[in-house]
Amino acid sequence: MINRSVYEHYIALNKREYSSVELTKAYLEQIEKKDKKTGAFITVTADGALDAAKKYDEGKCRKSVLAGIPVAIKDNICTKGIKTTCASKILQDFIPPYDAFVIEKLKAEGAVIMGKTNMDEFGMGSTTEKSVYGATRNPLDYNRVPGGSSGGSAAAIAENEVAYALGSDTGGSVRQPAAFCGLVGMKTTYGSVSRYGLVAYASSLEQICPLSRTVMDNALALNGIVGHDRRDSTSVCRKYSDFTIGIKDGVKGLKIGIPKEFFSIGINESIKTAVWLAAKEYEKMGAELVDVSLPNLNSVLPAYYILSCAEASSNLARYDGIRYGYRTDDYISIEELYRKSRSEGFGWEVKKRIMLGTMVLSAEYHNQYYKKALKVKNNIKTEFNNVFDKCQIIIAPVSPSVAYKIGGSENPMRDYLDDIYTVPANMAGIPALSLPCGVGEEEMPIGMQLIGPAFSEALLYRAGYAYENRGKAGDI
Amino acid sequence: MNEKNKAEIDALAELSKLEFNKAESAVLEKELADFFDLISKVDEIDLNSSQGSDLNDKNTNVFRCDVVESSYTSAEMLANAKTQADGYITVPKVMEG
Repeated sequence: MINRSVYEHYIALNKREYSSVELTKAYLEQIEKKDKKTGAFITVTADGALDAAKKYDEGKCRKSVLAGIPVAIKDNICTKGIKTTCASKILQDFIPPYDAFVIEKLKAEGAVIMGKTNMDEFGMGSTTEKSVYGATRNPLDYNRVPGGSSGGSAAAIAENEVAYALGSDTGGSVRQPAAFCGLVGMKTTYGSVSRYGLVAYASSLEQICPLSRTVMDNALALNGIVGHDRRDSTSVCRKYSDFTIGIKDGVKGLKIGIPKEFFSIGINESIKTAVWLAAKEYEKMGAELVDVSLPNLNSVLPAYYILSCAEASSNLARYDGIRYGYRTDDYISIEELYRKSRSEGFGWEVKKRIMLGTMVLSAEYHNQYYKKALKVKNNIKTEFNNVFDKCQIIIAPVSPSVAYKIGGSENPMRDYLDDIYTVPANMAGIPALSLPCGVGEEEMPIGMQLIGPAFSEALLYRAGYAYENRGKAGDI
Repeated sequence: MNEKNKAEIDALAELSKLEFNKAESAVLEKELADFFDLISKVDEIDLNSSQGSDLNDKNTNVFRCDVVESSYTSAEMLANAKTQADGYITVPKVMEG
């Protein structure tokens, strides 16, 4: 039963084919059996999960679609009474006194929280190797990474340890792990899911996002966490419709843009072909393909790293070893306490990005880099808006390559440059759905992205569902 | 590492409240230089004022109502502090004298 989708579990639980406790135990057994190798989880909350499952079985919680079904949570999302470490030594003992908005919502839905998943420290990375708890492995090939930074969440689903999971996406951290593990990941419109309780890395870019096996599951999971929250000042107050409404309506007449720049920058040929073939499939299903252009795409990556590092240097200034987090044993003055606690508590990548962020915010470089990057951010929004005058959604690759070999990143610049296709959606604040579209090198999955205007998640799910279920009689 | 780069890294480390030993500084110099090459490309981009401004002036700030509501207890807030005494977090002496 553990390889079933959320929707299949929902049906089975309602028909009483199995109980939530039986389902939860089956996933816990799988974690016990597999996770020593995979390393998807940092913390497993077996007792809490079984309590929640029991509540469902006894009819003591809401019978929503997500009720009674096990979910994993990335370890940068605050969970009351459960360690939230961001895979960092500096937060290794941190137990939040409150739940993030999305956790409040999932608990209200009756979800069964199985534990907290591994990630690149503070979300800074794309392999889930940069964790104080060690690397997570890709269940499709243990010698490869699951992607990152939400690699633990993706690996937990791919290893059948949970039915779905939450991650966070600052520059592709949900979409790229989805692509590397053959899953579905939605980077939601900025402001649609509250960041209250998401440990801040780059606040103007990041969103909490669902990862799942199927497009339908992803829509169901997003239904469970979306909504306005006054505790996040960037949360958008609007009515969010059920994302599954119209999901089976197909793509006839849909105008899909093919941005030439996404297919010309250092992309692996098999990935280019797979995404192109997916576009042709859409054409067969009645969609119209349109050539479009984002002429300044090359400017987005440098601007993204300027802004994300600048925000990281500011956000991570709070870790001083005083109110919470790691504190060095070796200090005399308060200055020394700050310096040593931070230097011993943060990993290399985090320290590097703090240094870079501090530099671009300094008086000498502020106008030249930081303000210019803000202009680029606004410019890419305009370019996307111009493109969406000609088409309704865009099709593009997720990553220039399939999942990397573990330990294969001798050049740290590779990870930065490979974010080229995912960061534009974060910079523009628009949604992007990552879903499998074939296999490439050594049978590893290839992912494609469907990108749409702000708040077009329902349309992206409709297009994603149509592709995922193409050729299946009666579904479309 | 040349003296100018070392002085720059030391100054940034001081601002960042971080410290690096000699070997780390040498690696950092190389990795920051590579990173700097990447972000420097933004300086080459020609954006005139019609193509983008640095502030999104279409948005207005949204203030919430100032309403008193229940919050966390001192014990909950102190639970994650390393050292405490009499309901306060203790820190090394800050003032001289």
